[in-house]
Amino acid sequence: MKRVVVTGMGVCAPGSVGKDTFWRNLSQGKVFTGQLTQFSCKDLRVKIAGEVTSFTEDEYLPDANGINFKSLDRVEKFAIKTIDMALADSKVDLSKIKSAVISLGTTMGKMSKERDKSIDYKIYEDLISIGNNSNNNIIKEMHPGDIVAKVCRYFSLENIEPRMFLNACAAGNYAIGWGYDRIKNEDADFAIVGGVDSFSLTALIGFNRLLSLTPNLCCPFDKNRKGLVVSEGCGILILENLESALQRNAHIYGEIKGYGLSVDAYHITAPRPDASGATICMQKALKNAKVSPYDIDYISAHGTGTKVNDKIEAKALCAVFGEKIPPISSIKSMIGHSLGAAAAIEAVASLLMLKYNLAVPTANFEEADEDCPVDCIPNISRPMKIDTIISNAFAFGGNNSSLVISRYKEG
Amino acid sequence: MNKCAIISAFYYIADAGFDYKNIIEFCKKVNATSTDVAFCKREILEERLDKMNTRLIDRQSLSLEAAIKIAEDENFFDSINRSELSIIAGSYSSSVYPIAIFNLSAKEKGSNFVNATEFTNTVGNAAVSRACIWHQFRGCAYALSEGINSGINPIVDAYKNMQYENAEDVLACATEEVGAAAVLLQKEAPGKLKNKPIAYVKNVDSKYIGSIKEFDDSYIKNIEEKFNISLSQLDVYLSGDAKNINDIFKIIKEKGASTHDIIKKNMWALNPMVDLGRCLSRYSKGSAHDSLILSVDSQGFAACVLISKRG
Repeated sequence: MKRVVVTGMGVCAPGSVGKDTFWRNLSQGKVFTGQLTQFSCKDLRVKIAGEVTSFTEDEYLPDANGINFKSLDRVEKFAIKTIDMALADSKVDLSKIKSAVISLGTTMGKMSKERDKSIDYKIYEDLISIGNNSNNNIIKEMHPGDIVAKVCRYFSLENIEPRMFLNACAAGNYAIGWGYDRIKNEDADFAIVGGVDSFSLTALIGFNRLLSLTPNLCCPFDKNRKGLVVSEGCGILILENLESALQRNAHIYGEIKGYGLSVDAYHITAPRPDASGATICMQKALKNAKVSPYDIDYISAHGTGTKVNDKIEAKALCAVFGEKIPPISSIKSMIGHSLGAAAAIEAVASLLMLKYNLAVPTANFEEADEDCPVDCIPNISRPMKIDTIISNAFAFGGNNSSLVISRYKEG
Repeated sequence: MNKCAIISAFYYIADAGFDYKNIIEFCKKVNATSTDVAFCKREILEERLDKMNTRLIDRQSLSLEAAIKIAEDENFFDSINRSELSIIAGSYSSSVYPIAIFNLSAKEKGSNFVNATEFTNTVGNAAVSRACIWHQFRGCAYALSEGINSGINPIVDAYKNMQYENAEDVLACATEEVGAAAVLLQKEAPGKLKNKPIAYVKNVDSKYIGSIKEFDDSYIKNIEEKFNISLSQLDVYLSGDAKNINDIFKIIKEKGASTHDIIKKNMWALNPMVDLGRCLSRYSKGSAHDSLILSVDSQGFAACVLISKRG
């Protein structure tokens, strides 16, 4: 069994392109959600979103291997740009890597077509009008596997094992866990893992119909929380086996200690009321990481800001940690819920918290809720010793995931 | 040693449900028609899944349910701890159709009035999640999408998850608009398996190999080396959407492999799953040759699994 460490990171999130700006914003508790500006959906009740407005043409990468960066889908642009940042951060020479894998998670992928910043209904009408015919180019253009294929082609990542996860809001953690397993069990030395989603009007309409959207700010664990904010972004980690990282004197941000997955098997959108799915998931992660609940210093919450989700997550935390629940926060209060990217972005935030021994806050918090008996680090960052973190992501369909990340220690 | 046993394979394709023993008949039928394999008809699915609330639920979820129901009706899950059973499903088209249907419905009814159930169909893990809800599978569940190889990578991951001791019982599935397949795999241990395995997964490989146009001998050589086999001793089943698939077929033939006809109809991720069924069907009729199920995708993905009748 190999130890798996993080040697590079990249992030695109509302308010930031790059981990330095991202950290500055998070540590200052800045909120980057607000009125939708780049996309239009006239008749929608709620038009609050988190957009990566700073991702302009100045951020575009040069064309490579026959791929014209500018012509890529927004989700592909996010993925390639963020991977480029992570690879540069890791200072790895890809030609020296013997065996590698890449795994990405997404919710909407390329399937939610926004052209000219509103939904491109024509492509859907064309698709349906083709009828029951599997030989059509629209599917070839829109299927999510195309994202990872484009990434591989752009970076010339040949002989790499690819995986594209479609596990909704937990997809990023599934992708990280999959890459972790490949390295831990010596099937690979190196992994590019993370999650990506571009802003989706389809998702905004859907969450609006589920009455899950807040009309203003996202306030996880607050008594008056009203829902989530749909956003976008990408988070990428470079994973490596420890020996390889030490050999090339790479900077080690932290160690992936383990992860847990579970299924609610209860309802397609609502979490299991007894919170057993989330509880089992965290317990599996702790067991897999060989740490006890007492070892956890901080919890990166799924914390969507919806009434039910936060209540059930708090209930699961009580079941796992008893009366000594470590401090917890949700960065979704600042950058919204970037769906398939969220868990990976939260992993990047967690690793930065380890680095700076600073827990970022849950923004917009006003009033405690008796249903959520947690210390959610309200509004202001908190300096504290952080050695081990558990990061939760609980998805549609009751697909739960928890990741355990620790400060790297020799021995 | 990882002994990943194949217990059975169940299919619901083009309005018909069957298991691997009947797959040759199915292949003959689809090859005989001049048209593409039709998408599953909702009304037939609804009738088949009698008593279930199927209203507004997407075709892929219902097709997968129809395939799993065959296993359920034949009591294949009776000896399995459902709270530990994992399910992995691959799909080429993923939720492209449900997203199209949802958006067109929102356009027609208005964004504030579209039915929320139609939105739940748009997430890629809808089919696996619903299977978990309906059958109380609570191991782990995930959905993946890597072109045509979406049909073979669930087998790859099932094998790996057993090797890593993440799972002992896995339902590896493929879901598309034309139907679904579900292969039941179990880690063999003394006294554990109630149902006798039909075959075993002996090794797996999945790669992005660059341009599929450059698919050549080197890929085959790597596989032969990794699996410690010679292609000339194997039965090979090839599927893919690559335009040059016939050239790849030729390379494999030249290596002396015993080849089987390529299924001409495009069923996306179901093609490699049908190939697996063909292999299992031959085993049930006495063949004992090791087999390679290989799929290549025009995007540059290639994946294969080595199947053996004996453990």
